[in-house]
Amino acid sequence: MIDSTVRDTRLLVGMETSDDAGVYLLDDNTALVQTIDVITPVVDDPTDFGFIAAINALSDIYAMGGTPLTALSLLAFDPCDLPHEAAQEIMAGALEALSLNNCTLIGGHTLEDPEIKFGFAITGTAGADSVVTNSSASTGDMIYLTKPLGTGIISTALKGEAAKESLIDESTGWMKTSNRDGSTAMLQSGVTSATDVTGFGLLGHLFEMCRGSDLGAVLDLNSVPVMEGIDELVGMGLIPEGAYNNRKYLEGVVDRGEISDDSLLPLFDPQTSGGLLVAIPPEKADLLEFTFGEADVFFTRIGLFTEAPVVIKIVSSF
Amino acid sequence: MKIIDCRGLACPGPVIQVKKKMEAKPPGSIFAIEVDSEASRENVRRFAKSRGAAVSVEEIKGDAFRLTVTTDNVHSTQKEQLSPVVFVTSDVLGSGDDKLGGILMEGFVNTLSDQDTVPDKIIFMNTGVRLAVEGSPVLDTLTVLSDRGCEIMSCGTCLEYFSLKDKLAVGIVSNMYDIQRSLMNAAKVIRP
Repeated sequence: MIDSTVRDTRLLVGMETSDDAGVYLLDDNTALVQTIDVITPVVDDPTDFGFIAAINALSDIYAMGGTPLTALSLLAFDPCDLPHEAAQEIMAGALEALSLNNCTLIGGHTLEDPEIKFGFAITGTAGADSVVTNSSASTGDMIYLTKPLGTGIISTALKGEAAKESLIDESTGWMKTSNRDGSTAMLQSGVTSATDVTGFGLLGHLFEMCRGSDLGAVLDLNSVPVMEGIDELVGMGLIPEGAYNNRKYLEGVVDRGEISDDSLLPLFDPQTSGGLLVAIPPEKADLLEFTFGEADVFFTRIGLFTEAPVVIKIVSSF
Repeated sequence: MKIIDCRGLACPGPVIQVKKKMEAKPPGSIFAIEVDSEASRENVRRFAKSRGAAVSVEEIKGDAFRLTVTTDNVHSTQKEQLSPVVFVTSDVLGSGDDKLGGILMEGFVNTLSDQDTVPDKIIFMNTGVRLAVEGSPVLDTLTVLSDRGCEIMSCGTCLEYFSLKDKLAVGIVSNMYDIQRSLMNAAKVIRP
């Protein structure tokens, strides 16, 4: 009889740290990295949606410093609602994204559901010694982000038919951007810890890093990249429920001083296919910026990790 | 006061409803919207305020909220259009040929949903009530208009007269007093 309370010693990263993927040692050199991510439509175009769903799922492998290998798809839809052609377009978009990231689709599952859902379970590998977890930052490490925020708010505005075409295009472009190059750069530069920004918003995922590493953080609001035009949408109340849920969950963790609700909401905005959130020792920050630059990866330094307690302080610089 | 029920509507549904209502109403109007989540409450409040309206919030039973929105008297939104009341007193439009009249009235009501301005109310009286009951050829349109904030009212006496009261498929059963008050307070009445 197997004793399920005894932890498998080959499990390097399990569920306890809410990390991006599970990591399991295969042998002395290689670890298996596995993740699953399923989303509902965030854009109108089926091909884009499929592409984004794949990029979104792959991101978790990259956030661990892994390389994706194979994918299994999950598609849920109502055949009376979604025409066959649209389902094919979703799949085509996904296949293109997977192919660009050298990941092979080896199977999948489809089921009926009144609401469209699409995503992937991705399997990849990482060097046994180079897995990057979300709980290994140190005091003084600088925090970098590789994509601007706002995809949740823009998706909501899109549903409300209130988003400008140009903003939708910008958001779609970011969601379709793979974190592969960012991951390579972070591995080359010796980051201490990393995650990607998705459903819990920037502050939620930063909190996971703080909690896992037992550290606090200071963020400079002026440095946090937010897509232009978001302010107007926030003012119009086109904010997804997830943002409010994230804010409520982080009550007591975020110290915002005099900063207004409206200014802070984008930092709680749940992202789809967000950027990498990376911790780097200050002496290696220049190298990281250089490697990001060489790989054409967008980056902004947004703050740094501080000693415990696990509190995220938001300040506003000039 | 018109109360729009947005309980159970996911974001940004309630904001869309308020947006449409505010665009259709003249400045200085009051209406209320009911939502059942804090997120919707905050979103609706933000939107209404961004449009210069005054908002008050009260908690109502069922863990829900009612926001009362008073649109700004001075500030006007892009469209200066005043939202009309459409007063439908027959299921035929015009006189001389009822078959043609029926087709025309059906077309008239269906075309209302293509206009930029959503009518404030549509009132059905006499044989007009037939357009609001099961089997009516304009039910889909009336439902769409209702979702956009148009109030659909059917005369109760007329429904009873035609034994159609239990067949009402959209809107509410109204009475002479409310119908008359609606007509008297209307900025504009259209009677096809």
